[in-house]
Amino acid sequence: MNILKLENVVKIYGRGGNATKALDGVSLDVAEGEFVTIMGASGSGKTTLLNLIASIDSVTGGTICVDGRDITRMSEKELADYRGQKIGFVFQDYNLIDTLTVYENVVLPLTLKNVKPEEIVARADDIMKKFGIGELSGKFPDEISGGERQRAACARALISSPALIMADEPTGALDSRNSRNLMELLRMMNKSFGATILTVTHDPVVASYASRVLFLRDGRLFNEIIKGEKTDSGFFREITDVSASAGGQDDAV
Amino acid sequence: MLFKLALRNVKRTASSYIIYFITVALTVAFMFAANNVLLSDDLRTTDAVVRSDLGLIINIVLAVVVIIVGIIICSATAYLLRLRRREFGTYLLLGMKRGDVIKIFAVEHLTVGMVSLTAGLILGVGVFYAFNGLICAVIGSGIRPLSLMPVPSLQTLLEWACIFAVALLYSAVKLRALKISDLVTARPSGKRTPHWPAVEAALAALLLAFIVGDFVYFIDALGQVMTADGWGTDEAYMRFLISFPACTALLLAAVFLFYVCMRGVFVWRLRGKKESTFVKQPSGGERIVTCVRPSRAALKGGNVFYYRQMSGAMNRNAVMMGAIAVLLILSVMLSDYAFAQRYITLAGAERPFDIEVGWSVQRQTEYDYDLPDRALKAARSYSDTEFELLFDVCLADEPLRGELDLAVVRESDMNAMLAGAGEEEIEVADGTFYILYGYKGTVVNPDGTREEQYGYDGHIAEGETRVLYGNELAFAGAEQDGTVLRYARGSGDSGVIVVPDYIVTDAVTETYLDERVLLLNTADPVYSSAFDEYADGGYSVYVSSVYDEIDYINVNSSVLIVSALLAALIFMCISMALLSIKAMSDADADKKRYMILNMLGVSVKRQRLMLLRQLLSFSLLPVALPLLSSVPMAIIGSIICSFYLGYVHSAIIGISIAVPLVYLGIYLCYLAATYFLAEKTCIRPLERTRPRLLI
Repeated sequence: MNILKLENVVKIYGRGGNATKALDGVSLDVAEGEFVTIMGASGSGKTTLLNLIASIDSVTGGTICVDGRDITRMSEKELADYRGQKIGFVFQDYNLIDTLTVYENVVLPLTLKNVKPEEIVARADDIMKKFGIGELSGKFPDEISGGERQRAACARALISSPALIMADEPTGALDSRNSRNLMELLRMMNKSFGATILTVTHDPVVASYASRVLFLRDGRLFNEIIKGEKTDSGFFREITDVSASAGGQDDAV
Repeated sequence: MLFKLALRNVKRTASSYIIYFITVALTVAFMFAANNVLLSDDLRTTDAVVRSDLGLIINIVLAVVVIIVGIIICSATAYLLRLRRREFGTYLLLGMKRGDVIKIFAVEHLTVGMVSLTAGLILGVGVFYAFNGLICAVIGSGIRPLSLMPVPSLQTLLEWACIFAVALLYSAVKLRALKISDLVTARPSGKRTPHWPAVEAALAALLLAFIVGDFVYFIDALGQVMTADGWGTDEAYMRFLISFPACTALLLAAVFLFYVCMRGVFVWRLRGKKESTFVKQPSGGERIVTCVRPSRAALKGGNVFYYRQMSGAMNRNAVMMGAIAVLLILSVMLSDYAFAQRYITLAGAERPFDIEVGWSVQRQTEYDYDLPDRALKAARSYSDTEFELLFDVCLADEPLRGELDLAVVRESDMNAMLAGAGEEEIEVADGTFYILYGYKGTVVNPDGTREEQYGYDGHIAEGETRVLYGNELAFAGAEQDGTVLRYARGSGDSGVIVVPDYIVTDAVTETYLDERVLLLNTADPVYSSAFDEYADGGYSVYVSSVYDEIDYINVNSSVLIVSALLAALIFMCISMALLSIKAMSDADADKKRYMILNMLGVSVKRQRLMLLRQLLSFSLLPVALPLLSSVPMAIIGSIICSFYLGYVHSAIIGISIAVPLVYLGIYLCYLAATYFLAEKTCIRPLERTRPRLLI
């Protein structure tokens, strides 16, 4: 079953002579339990695409369906509910609330939904243990490392069991070791929790963790590769080959 | 170019100046009105102000207000500077000189300042006439409406010129001292103040109980000394004397500390149980980690966010909130006191007879015996008289004078006085004399003991005779009187000998007349000045009109009332401005937090409610105790009023309701403005925030 379905999505900024087409008819599907990465250089439109799916921005044309519902027709209140229930977001700069402890940040989505305290505690304990941040419960974000913050952000994204987890350059602020750890974590979320993950990155290493990579250039998808049975390093080489060829002719998918 | 940049900045950052503008405008308005009232020639040349220290008090009050306002404006200016430190740091990075940056800030600040000042002066005219109305209502017809004067108006401008100059100088000094790196990359230190939330919460509860107990204790002490039967015992009086300063000082200290301890309350509310979990070690094995989980209450709704926001706000602003609460409670006390003292002193001015004129005759070689009669006729021309009595006071002759040295008054005159004062008449049979005496004073003996002295020492037995004006009269008795004796002046004002009318003949008065006294109760006010021409002729004349005293009290009390109200209003405005500025500073930091909430699925409507809850709590907390203190103040005012007047004057209850209501009105205005600005800052649809959120 497709958790995410985009049909001919267009996004244009500005008007008339100043109009810029950020996305030009993008269509894609993401099945339940998939780990998909969208790759592209700066200005390719990948963040715009993520923002549209996250309902942070609105489409100029086309439709976006998440878990069977067309979000392009939702009201502001419905979109807020959608963001709270259907998607989990992992930001490049973590976006943990600095005045809350790690535990409070993780449970925040559940408290906002008025989930019972007993259930909140049970789910928080479980997820924090699995993410290895149990001992950081009482610490504030500025008291822990970048890698720990990102793990806390992932735990927050996952705790409400969203239909889709989106990560925008999740390793952008991390060193290579922490980047690897985070990607292993995302893989674990995908495999152990069955989370459907959609990431956006320009880093082939990060992309190699996904099961499917879509390539975006100038607002259009031009290639797609599936990992299949390949190893991470093999998939990495394939990704870099496709990225290198992106400097040639346009081959839109 | 700098000037254009500064003006553009003002337009661009107009919203951040709104609170500053409102506060300056309101404060200017109140100070303008108060200066024109309190420094008015019409008021300052009244006899009451000239005779008393009120002129000095007025100047002190105005000076204190200017100093406090100056300090607050300096603080607000420095805050606005901090708010834009990155912008100024960028100017410096681009090569602008510090002097030029200071000039830009000065131009911006002065532009807003001039606009606020102008608005305040215009508003001040309206406030002046409102104060004017209050003065006339309090003083009554004894003073004509005050008029705007150039000198007080100029003084207001001068005061504000000094305040702005000092504020700018302070900011310039601050700006000069900062490094570019501090301006551009300033980040919070990340250090957190250590907390013992349970201890602080417990202390806060104890202090709150102490505050209530303090009021209860003081009210009880007051009730013991001001009883329905009059002044209480000496012990009660001593207890009251000690408890008044002690309770006041302890109350203010407790209020201040209460807010300091309040910062722990929200963290305490947030914390649940301590729990231990096993954590795997990288090297293998496990270790126990103990941490405190949020409480059940914190896990409901957006409470965890709300408690953390409030605990952070309280932590940063606890001392300021305590100071604000103390200032506002003092303002409530002063306002209530200013109104209460008017009615209490008016009650103290009450006397049996409105007007008393005494012509001392003995010192004259010749006297115009008709002068008092003409004065009485003149008084009738000013007003209908409800009571009038013109009587003679004579000296006793020897040997009685040597023995008693008391004045002699006819029975009919004394009974007319007693009746006029609402007291029981006395009966002096023919051939007898009666003594009414009073308290003379306390004498300290060589051995240190104190002895009270009276006009009559009780040495004459009933029936014993004495000779007065050639008449042998039997002593009929004596009685202590505290009400009318003072009117029967003469050599023996600590007592009088009351004799049947026939004893004091015309021949007696011709030789022994000491004083003629006129007592009047009038329907309309008649002042002592009405008797000036009848005080002529070289007589030693004593004139006393209760209407002069009432006017004196009215002028005094109106000055005190205006001063107290001025201080109360300005302190309330300044306090709310400080809270608003702090809230706006927090709103700036809250921008990102609310964006994250938005991303987590909190609708804009719910965010607004969360923000409103946060602002409501933050700004109401320091105002809550002062507002609630109106209740015990009303009780205290009622006890005092009942003691002096015999009933609770409606003004006491009225002011106890009016002052908190005005405070509430000011609070709501500032809350609305702050919420409006904070909402614009914090809560924006994601479409408008997209570039900032994800870059």
